[in-house]
Amino acid sequence: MVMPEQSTPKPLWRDPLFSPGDRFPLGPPHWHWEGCEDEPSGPATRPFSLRGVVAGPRMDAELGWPYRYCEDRQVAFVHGDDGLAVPLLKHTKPGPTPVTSGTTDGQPGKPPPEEMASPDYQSD
Amino acid sequence: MGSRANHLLRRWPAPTTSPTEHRQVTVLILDREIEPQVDRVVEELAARDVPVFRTDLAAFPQTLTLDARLEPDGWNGTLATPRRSVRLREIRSVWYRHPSHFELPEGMSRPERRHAAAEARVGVAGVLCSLDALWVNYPSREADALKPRQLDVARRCGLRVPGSLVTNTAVGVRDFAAAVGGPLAGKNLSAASLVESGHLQTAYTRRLGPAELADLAGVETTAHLFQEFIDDKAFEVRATVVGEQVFAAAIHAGSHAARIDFRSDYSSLDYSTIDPPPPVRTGMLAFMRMFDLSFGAFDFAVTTTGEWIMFECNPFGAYGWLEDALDLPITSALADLLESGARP
Repeated sequence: MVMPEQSTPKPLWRDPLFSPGDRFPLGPPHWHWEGCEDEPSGPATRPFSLRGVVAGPRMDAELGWPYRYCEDRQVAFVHGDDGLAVPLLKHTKPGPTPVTSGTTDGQPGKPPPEEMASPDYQSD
Repeated sequence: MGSRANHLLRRWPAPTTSPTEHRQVTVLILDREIEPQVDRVVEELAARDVPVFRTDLAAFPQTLTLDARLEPDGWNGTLATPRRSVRLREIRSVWYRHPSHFELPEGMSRPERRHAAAEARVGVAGVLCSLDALWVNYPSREADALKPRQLDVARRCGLRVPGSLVTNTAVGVRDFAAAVGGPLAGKNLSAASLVESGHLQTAYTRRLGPAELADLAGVETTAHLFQEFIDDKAFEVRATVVGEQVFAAAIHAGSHAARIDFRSDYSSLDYSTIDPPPPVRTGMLAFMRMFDLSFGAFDFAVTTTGEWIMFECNPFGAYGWLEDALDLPITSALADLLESGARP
């Protein structure tokens, strides 16, 4: 196949600082963080910026999502006590809401997910 | 904004499709499956009869397939799941949030997995990023918007930013503290969280007075960010920018911890809507243009004298909890942007 020639090629921007992974960041699949059992190293080598970190939930186990993704509507649902499927987004209004292990957006007292979704995961 | 500033960052090329050419509008959403912010937008677009193709990239290659062919006018082909498919040429806009890493078939060796993962990332990213579509936001914007770079761009855009120091020397910290003449804020340059001992660990902003600055062991182990601590902060603001629209929420802290970093104690927070002063609004929009962002979540401190001091902009920030608390129509604005496919 012959490609038409571009009279004025668009410049390509390349930054040697970043790998393809950095430029197309992806998180861990299903919140699984494997191989993260390392303990803090000690005061001589631990970065100052990690002093005072606050511990959260374990991240290496299957989270107890009560929600299931619906491929047809492309949103998540949970089955209520009456057996009816309730969209997840109905549970994200202010006030008492069902507690999940990780989806915390909109739940007062819980952080929004941006803090848990830092896309620094690199698969081996 | 001078021409020098305009050349600081690359701008994504203008669309090559003629405005009068008919194109099917399909919104591609790349994120995890359990994400209420995305659910809202999906439902909003569905109510408008806008076709949506939502997928997590963890589905590739096992249940998500890509079949793309380079044609004289660009990549074409299909992206498909067992339930639906979309022609690449029909994708008008892409909402890129936090998709998961590809889930590869079991049984691969570690070298095979590394190879397959790299091939998947370059292949899928290479094709999708070539599409003539609006990206909200383009995936590399997070890498572009490094915090030190953000602070400098914000300054160029007329926004006030805190005095800041990036260093790996204790003497540098002490000199900076002496120059500031007050407490410092210790912040992270990159992600605020890590997984250690199997647990999520979150590093919130710390207020560093003389006692904390007396022992700076560990500063030399990597780069650290220190800023002047805004002691006369009245409240903080999360300003969510969608295209040219700004939705700002004042965040009033009700505890000592939340006054240092509101993320550390959400239960103590109260919210109210607020209009950014015109120069701040102008500065935010200039910042968005500089980084070629269509969506951004800015964090400010507002002092008791009414000065707005910008900390950072998260190109993938959360907004759902503020939309709920204050009835901010952010979902609708995002749906408008994605449906139009128009670059701000």
